Amino acid sequence: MRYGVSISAALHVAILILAVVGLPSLLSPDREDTVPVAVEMISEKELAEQPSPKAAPPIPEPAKPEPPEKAEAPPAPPPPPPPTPPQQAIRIPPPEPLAKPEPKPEPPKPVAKPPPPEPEPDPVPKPQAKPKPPPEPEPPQVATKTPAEPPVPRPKTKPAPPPDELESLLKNLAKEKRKQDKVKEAAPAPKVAARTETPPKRSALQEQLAAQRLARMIMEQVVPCWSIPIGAKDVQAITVDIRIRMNPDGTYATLPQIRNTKRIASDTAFQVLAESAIRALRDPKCTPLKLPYEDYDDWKDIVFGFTPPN
Amino acid sequence: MTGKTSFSDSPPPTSGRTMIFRLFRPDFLFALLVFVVAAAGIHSTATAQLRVDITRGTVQPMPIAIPEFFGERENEVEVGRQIADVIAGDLERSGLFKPIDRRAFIQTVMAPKVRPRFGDWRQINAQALVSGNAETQPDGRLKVEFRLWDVFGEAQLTGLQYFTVPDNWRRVAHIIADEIYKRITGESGYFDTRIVYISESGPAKRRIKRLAIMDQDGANHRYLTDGRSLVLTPRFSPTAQEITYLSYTANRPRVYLYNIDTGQQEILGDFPGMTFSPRFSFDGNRVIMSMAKDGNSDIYSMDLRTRRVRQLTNHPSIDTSPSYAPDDRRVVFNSDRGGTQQLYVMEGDEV
Repeated sequence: MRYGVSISAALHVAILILAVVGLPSLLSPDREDTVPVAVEMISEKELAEQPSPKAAPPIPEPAKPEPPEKAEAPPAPPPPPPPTPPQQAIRIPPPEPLAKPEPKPEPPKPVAKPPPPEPEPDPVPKPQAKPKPPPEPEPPQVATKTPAEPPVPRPKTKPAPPPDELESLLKNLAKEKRKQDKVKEAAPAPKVAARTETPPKRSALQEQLAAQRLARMIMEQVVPCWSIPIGAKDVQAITVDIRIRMNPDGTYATLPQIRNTKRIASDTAFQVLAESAIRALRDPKCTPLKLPYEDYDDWKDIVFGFTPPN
Repeated sequence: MTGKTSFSDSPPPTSGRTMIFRLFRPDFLFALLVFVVAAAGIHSTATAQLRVDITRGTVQPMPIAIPEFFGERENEVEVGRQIADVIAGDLERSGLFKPIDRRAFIQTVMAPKVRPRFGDWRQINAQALVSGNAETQPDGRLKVEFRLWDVFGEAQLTGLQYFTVPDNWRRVAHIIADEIYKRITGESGYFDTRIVYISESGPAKRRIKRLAIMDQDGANHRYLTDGRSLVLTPRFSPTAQEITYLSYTANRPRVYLYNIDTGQQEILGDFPGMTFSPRFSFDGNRVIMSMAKDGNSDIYSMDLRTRRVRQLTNHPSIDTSPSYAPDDRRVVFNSDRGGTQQLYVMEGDEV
């Protein structure tokens, strides 16, 4: 009997703890480790009012009772996608032989046929032909990947087209520079140190709210750069999930990885949608993402789900 | 379930004190620990990934940069410029692309087989870039090749080359535009197509109608008939090499066949009455039409290879406007056999 009572008591306490700490997460259908977040619009003003999600604890957030989002959370238990660089994945196989006029293989021409001739050893000794342009404006980060910021081959040195064009370019450049400086200022500290000193002791609810706020913040930044592929049929019912690991400065630590890469080969609509999504994530106008540095732990690993509106 | 059973099996606790005391028993503490650890584990993994759903976006034409195709000799430079212009025009008219003004380009010369300076193109917000070159071959033919680049991804999306007679450069440009359209939107392009139509001119009482053809963008316009006889209802064959139409040549309205390559026209079949509303089958081997005689019209088909004519309807009412289904085994047509005009479908090997 004593045994039974103690078991029952233990169960009760455990249930209580679970309810307080773990239940919301437990219910989340996506066991693998995704927090599904229903994104709601808020105006920019609203956004501005609460820049740091932590500044204000769970206050009057416009009712987000965690709606049926769960139902739609991707049930796919995606095995961590193989580290295929997405470009490779989305690249169409070697273009088919020429449409009409005689295909003519012509070995000396490395056009079309031999798979992706993209990384051609440039026969021309152009200095700019280097795959990586001067990374100087890049904030300290993984220098190997993604063109988070326009790599800027200083237009000053260019012969320069019409003067006004150049001027606007320079202005843009200056803006870009300022932006980056800001980012640098925002994230100056060595990341490890900073992370350890913020002890995130938040409840599950707070976590959810913070995640929602972050997701909204990110969405607002990506939306202006996503050009919905309206030219393709049947993209409406499709969602493309793209995973990116982030650097603390908002740049990408990994290339965008498409989940379900296999589908690209067989489904043109999926491919077109995936490519449009990746373009949005790479658009210099919208990258690097501006995110609160102190919450880096919450956004260091992001899964974007792109679904065209009907 | 098991928890419940043990509850009912065990008698109620004797007193509150013993209960509290037992809370500190080791087996209880152990069970508690297990649950706490499990809960914490679940909790921490749940926050590892942030999901961001993007369900809105913009609907804007894609900014695409199409520099003049590279050429060395004067004629190559000229044709390279024209090809780039035609491609840009095609893509722009589709509404899905916005070619960037060439005056904004930073990299103005795109030598063939060299990777573009993607930074330069990102600067001007180009998302896609087309580079290409035109080159005259020793045998006089023109070689045109192009590559489509993903500017943000710094990768080639597609690349093809074509050989053609120099006068055919415009067609090659349309074919390239089709390839670009297809690669970016996922749908087939329609730029390498032509339009056949009836051109009308002259005073109201003496209208002149001529069979005319032009490229989809209005270029290469020409007349196929001289306007001496009335022509109507032109239809392309699936290969777009032949046109079937109705002509009143010598005041005998008959269905004709016009071969675009040879310029030859011929009357289709030897019918006693007026034939009209012709259409090709989808395999291009047959033409279906109506024949009117003595106030009644029925539907006939003609096999273009054997020239055999087959009567498909035989009814005292009017049967007309026949059209094959894409499988060529069914025909939809218009008939008033039920008292009012309705659409009817007939099917079978005989059609």
